[in-house]
This record gives sequence, structure tokens and C-alpha cells, in this order.
Amino acid sequence: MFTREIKKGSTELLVLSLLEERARHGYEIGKLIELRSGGRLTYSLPSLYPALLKLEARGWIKGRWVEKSGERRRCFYRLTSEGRAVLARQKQAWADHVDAIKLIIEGDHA
Amino acid sequence: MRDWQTFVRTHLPLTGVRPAREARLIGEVAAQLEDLYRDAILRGATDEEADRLAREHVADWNQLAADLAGVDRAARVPPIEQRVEAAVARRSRFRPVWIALATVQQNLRRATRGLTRRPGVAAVLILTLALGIGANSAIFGAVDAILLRPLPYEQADRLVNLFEHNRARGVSREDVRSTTTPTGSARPGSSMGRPPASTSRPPSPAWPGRAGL
Repeated sequence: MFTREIKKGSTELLVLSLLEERARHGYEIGKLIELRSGGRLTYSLPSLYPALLKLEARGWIKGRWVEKSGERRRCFYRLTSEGRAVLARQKQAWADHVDAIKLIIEGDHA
Repeated sequence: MRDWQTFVRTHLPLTGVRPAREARLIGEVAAQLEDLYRDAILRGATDEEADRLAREHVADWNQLAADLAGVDRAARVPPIEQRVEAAVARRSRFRPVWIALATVQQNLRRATRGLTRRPGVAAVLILTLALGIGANSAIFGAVDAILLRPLPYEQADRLVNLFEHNRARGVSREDVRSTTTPTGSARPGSSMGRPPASTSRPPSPAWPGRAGL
């Protein structure tokens, strides 16, 4: 459905957006992307997990092992203040990009 | 249910990753595969089906290991420019002298790492520097003793060396004693003396030569 390049280019924004609401673990992030996109966007572990680690290495998200009662120990990722600022910039950039693309591909119907 | 930690540990060939980091990576991949397995069971899959689904989720373990190790390496040793920028950013709220010190500190660390990485080159460099500094010190010591250091007399800069030359007679004398010169007089018994300004007299007409300092 979507090319590998399109998916790769939007991974950062998707992950940061999902972590804006609250801290989540890796599997949950993958499932949410699939759920909210209506099954059109899916990420496997080998493509999503290295992306998560890259975001953490840049200091945009921070992982922490949490053991909740009755649940297994999981690494939860949360957005850092730097990540929040990056997300705001990326959201704006994507909106501008999509608007520009629409203007071009929809042509002049006026 | 399968022990996913052991499964991932035997399949994920992580190399050059710190042990603590390796444990985290294996733990997290194992947790995600277990989530996948449990999710499949909840959706009605049999144990075998769920196990196969989770096991086959990662098609290329070597590629995954390379990707994870690559991220770890990049995170562990950022380029020196990034480290300097980070250090400068950390100290930006302080005075500029701290920024300069941070840069110097980073440069010293980089130099130390470079030298320890190539001890042979380091030894040659240090030996060359030592020889250069030693040779320069020796030459300066000699020049200082011969040319630069003043003689051990009071007001050594006012000492003069007297000589005389008679062109008509073709006579020269280096050892001038008790002789009046155009600029002053020397003390008897010494070829060198202090030229007092008040005692200077013109040269004697009986000695129509030249006297000098």
C-alpha cells in the first residue's frame, strides 16, 4: 500500500505523536499505528524497534523499565521536552508538505 | 510457553555491544515477541500457531542485530563535534571561559585517545619533541652564556675596550694602559675602564693616530 520510503519517512512523526499522549511500550506503539491507520500502516519489530532506539539516542524519547502489578516488566518510552519541540516542528512541516503536494497533484480546478 | 529471552539470546548475534545494553536489547525484543504470542492466543490461535507467528516475526536476525548494534555504537560514541557542541551547550549559561575550557578538555581527551590507540606513533612524537626541546635548550644556554648574559661587573653595560691605531707608523696597540682617549681615560693596569664624561680630552697631537672604543 505505502512504499517503504514513505513509511520510513513518517516513522519518527508517528512514534513521537503516539508518545505525546502518554508513555508507551514498543509493542503498544506498533499496535496503535496499525489500529489508528485502519490496518493500512503496519510496522514489524525489526523496523520499529531500531527507530525507537534512534529516537532515544537523539534524546527525543526516554525508555524506562517499569513493572506494574500483575503485568510483565516492560520498557516504557516517554517524550522528552526536546522531543516535544521536535514533534511540534515535524507536525508543522508535514502539514505544509501535504498541503503543497495536494496543490500540485490536484491541479488547478478553479 | 517458550522462554523468549533464551530464544532471542540464541538468535540475535549482537557483537560489540556493552553487556548491560545487550541485556536490555534482548529483554525488549523478547518482551515484544511474547506480546505478539499472547496477542495471537487472544485472537484464537493455537499455541503452536502463536509460537510460529512470534518466531517467524523476525525474518532476518542478522540484519536486526546489525541495526541494533549500529544504533548502540552511534549512541555510545558520538562524533567529537557533537560532544563539543553538547559540552558548550551545557556550559552556555556560564562565562565564556568555561566554554573555552570545555573545548580544551575535549581536545585533550581526543588527543589522549589518539595517542593511546597508536603507541608507536606516540613514542616517536614524544621522542622527537624531547630531542627538539633539549637541543633548543642547550643552544640557548650557550648563546646566553657567551652573548646575552652581562659580565659580572657593576654597570657592565658601560664597560669599554680601548685600542689605538697609528696609521703613519703602522702601529696598533690592543693593550692600552694609562692612556687618554677621546672619550675618557682608562685606569692604569687595565685595558678596560669606565669612560667618565667630565675627564674627556681631545687626542694628543704627538699621537696623530686614532683611538677608539
